[in-house]
Amino acid sequence: MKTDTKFYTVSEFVQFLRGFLATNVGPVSIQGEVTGFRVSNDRFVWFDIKDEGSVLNCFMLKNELMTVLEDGMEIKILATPQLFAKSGKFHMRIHAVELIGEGALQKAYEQLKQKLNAEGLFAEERKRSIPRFPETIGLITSSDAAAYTDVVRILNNRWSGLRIVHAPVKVQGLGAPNTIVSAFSYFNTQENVDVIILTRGGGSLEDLQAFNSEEVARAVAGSAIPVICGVGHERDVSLAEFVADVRASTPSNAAERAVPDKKEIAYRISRMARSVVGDLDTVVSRLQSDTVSLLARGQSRIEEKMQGGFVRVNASISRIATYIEGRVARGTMRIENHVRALEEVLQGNIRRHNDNLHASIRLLKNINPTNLLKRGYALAWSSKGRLITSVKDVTVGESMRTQLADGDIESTITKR
Amino acid sequence: MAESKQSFGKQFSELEKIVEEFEEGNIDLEASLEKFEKALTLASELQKRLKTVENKVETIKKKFKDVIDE
Repeated sequence: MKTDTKFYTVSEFVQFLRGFLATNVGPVSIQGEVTGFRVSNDRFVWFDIKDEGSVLNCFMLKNELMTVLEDGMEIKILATPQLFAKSGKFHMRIHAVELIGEGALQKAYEQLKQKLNAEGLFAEERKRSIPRFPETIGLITSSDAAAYTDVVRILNNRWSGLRIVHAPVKVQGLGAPNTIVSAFSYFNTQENVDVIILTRGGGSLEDLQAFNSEEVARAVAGSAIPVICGVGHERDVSLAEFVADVRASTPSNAAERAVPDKKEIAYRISRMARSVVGDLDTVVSRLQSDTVSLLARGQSRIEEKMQGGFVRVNASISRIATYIEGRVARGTMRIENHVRALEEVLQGNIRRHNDNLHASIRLLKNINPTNLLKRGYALAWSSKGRLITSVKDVTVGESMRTQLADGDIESTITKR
Repeated sequence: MAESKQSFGKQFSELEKIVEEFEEGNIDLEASLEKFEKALTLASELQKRLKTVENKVETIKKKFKDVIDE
């Protein structure tokens, strides 16, 4: 034996090989046919993968296996070559499995669909509604896909003020399900968005495998944030879509389902503003007619009480009128400010209401009982400047002032 | 861009509520002027937001793992 040969204990050498394989070979992708598939202790999955020339032993944990696996299936694995520390046996440590061929995929799809359906994951009552006006959207798709461009374009066309947070993931190939799952966990733990869009373009069953995988379906089902899922062309359906809160037909459709159309909302806002203007108009004309009948009633009362307290009644009616006028005028000013600000939204409509308001003020002015002075009524003021409402308010010899429409008369009381 | 004090959704619901109150009637002039003022302010703010505010896209820098950790 050569003396310069490196000496190892058995454990050291196994350990050395494990490290060597992990660093120098690392995870590799291998395709072959499954044979000798079995599960032990309900925890460990064992099988071989073979082609015409060779066989490799494979090992993984049961809870890592997210697809149906049977002998005879053609699969692609992502795995790191390894030795068991105890037995020193060589095997492939599996990270991910992908099925090859329509037949196997179709079978896996149907089986998983049945299983998830039996668990109630597709149930209508599980579906949550999307917020009416989302502000932040989590977008899970690959960066270079047409789906990404489509979604962003539609969102920009339809709605404004959005924050779109894009999680770039792999949408197909080995490892794709894991990137999607971790994007879901990112949104659910670190970046709370209002809604998540999970999407990709169309493709074969093989391409869509990630969207039909159990881990992605469960991530969608387990998301605390509502999910819209749109995959491929209209004819493509995936299990992720069945589980999602909203099932969209395409990436563009997913974007359409996520936000309202701003043209439609702008129209609704204008309509609401118009209806408020119309309703205010009704309130004003009701007030207008109330005031008219109030003043008319007041006036006939005055006439009844000509003898007695005409002057007092007149004064209070006049105060009421001034008060109402003031309120309407203040209101009109405020309304006018807004009307100007909103003119472009409401177009000509406002003008008409504005005119109505002016007309109502003119009307109020016309029937203001202070104008009664013009019709020959008078206000009597004492020397102290108080309205004389009773003969007891004055004494003989005191001077008094009589207010007429066009001026005052000073006089001295000689008798009462 | 300055964040709006209130979300679009909140303002929109507030506008809808005022419209509903007006439709139900029975509001006196003083109250309705205030509501009217509020409704038109909301409407113009909402319209402005739809017209002027743009969408932002951010891409998460974090790399999403595609291989299970040992």
